[in-house]
Amino acid sequence: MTSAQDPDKELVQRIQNGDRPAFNQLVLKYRNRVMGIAARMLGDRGEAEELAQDVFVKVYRALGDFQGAALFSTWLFRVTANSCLNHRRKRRAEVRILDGAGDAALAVADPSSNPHQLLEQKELRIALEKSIQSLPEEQRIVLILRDVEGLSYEEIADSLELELGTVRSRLHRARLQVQAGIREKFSLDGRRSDRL
Amino acid sequence: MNCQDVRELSSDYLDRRLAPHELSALEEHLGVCPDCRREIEALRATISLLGSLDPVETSADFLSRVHRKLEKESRLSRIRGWLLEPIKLKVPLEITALVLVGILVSHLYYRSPELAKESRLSVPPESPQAAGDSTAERSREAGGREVHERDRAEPKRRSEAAEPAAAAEKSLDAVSRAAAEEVVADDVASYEKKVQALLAQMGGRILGQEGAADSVLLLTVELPQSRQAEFLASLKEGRAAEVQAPKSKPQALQGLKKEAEDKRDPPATGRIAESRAPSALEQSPRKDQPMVRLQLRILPKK
Repeated sequence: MTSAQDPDKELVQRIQNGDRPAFNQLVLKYRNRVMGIAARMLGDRGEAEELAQDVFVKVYRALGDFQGAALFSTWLFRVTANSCLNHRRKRRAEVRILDGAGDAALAVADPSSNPHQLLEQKELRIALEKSIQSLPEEQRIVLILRDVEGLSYEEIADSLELELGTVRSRLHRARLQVQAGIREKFSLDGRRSDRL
Repeated sequence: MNCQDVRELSSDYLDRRLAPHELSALEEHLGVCPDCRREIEALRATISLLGSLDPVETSADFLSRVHRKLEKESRLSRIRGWLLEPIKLKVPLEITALVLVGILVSHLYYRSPELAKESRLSVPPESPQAAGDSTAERSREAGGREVHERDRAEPKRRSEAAEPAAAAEKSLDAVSRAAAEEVVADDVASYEKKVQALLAQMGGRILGQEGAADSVLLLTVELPQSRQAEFLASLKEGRAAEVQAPKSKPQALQGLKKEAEDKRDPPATGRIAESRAPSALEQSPRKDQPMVRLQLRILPKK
């Protein structure tokens, strides 16, 4: 998708003309995606929420200079990714997994599942989140943007200012590592390892 | 294509990013390799799980907290602007203001002999040796005062010895001040002597002088306020018509009278009338008598 086809073009122009409600729309549209990237990159919900707010403040301040050379969403994810990487470099803390509240968010209600299946599904997703957290951050951000947020390779390359080949190789290594992590977890439990 | 190649291309395969010839080769291998098929399916399941992760939702007041941060940023930005803007804007303004103040002070300094005098008095008196060759020093017996003149191009270096009559200087607060008077004289030096004589007659004196006797001479004089009008009238009279030589006999006017008699016919300018004999009171002003200071610019006749 080119910048001329940017679905956010009109909203961005309205914000650039001083339309505050348009900014609110943009925040509401993207807040959970920004929050998701931040939460999985930082591993802490509280810090992720603060960072996500800061991302929108930065975006609002810098939107006057946004020329539309890339999609707005690509630019937004670039700001988010850079903010996460900078935050982690500053913090230099141990990798933490999402807390209980985060875990609760992972439990997807499936009407067809019985309680045992729901518990298994929840455990699986917690294992998945842990595997994501254990990735090197340069692989993790690519995996999150591609497999969680659904960006194209090209959008990821633009957002992270990487070559396409780098995106491909980082993504593949990340996937294999996550797969290995889940396999390890469930082979130890003796469950579901055959599927992964 | 072997198993290793297939494992390397599995992500591209699942994301449909293989070139047609790669795709056909890979699918051909999968058709005959159950291990690779299982690996591909396991990776597909992993990707599917990642895609099914729920969004991590923000708090309900996320938007209002963003707006609060924006407001806070705006306040900080304004403060930062006040602190840092001078670098871009205020410094030039301050420099401009300083330059303007400098010009004003300089203007006042040259226009107001009182300011110049007070400025000079605040500097310790220079010795004649220190004054150097470029200094035209002249000492004058006028109320026991000594005036050092320096090069006009360096007025700020001028200093004047503190007067012995410090008490008289202290009374300057009560002294009214007047604007400069200009007169044209045939002989500036001679005219200066006549002014000195006239002042002596009226109980006044010359406080200071700038310039050279052969060019423009600026005199700062002091006299009783009650005699100001008379003094100025004498000056005007001297400029407009024949000025009579002094008839009084004060010691300081003896030479002046003689000169006046010698030059009875020559041009009126540069001569000062002595209208009446000064009284003892006039020649020696009382300390509580209000004094006035005047500036007299004596221009040589061209």
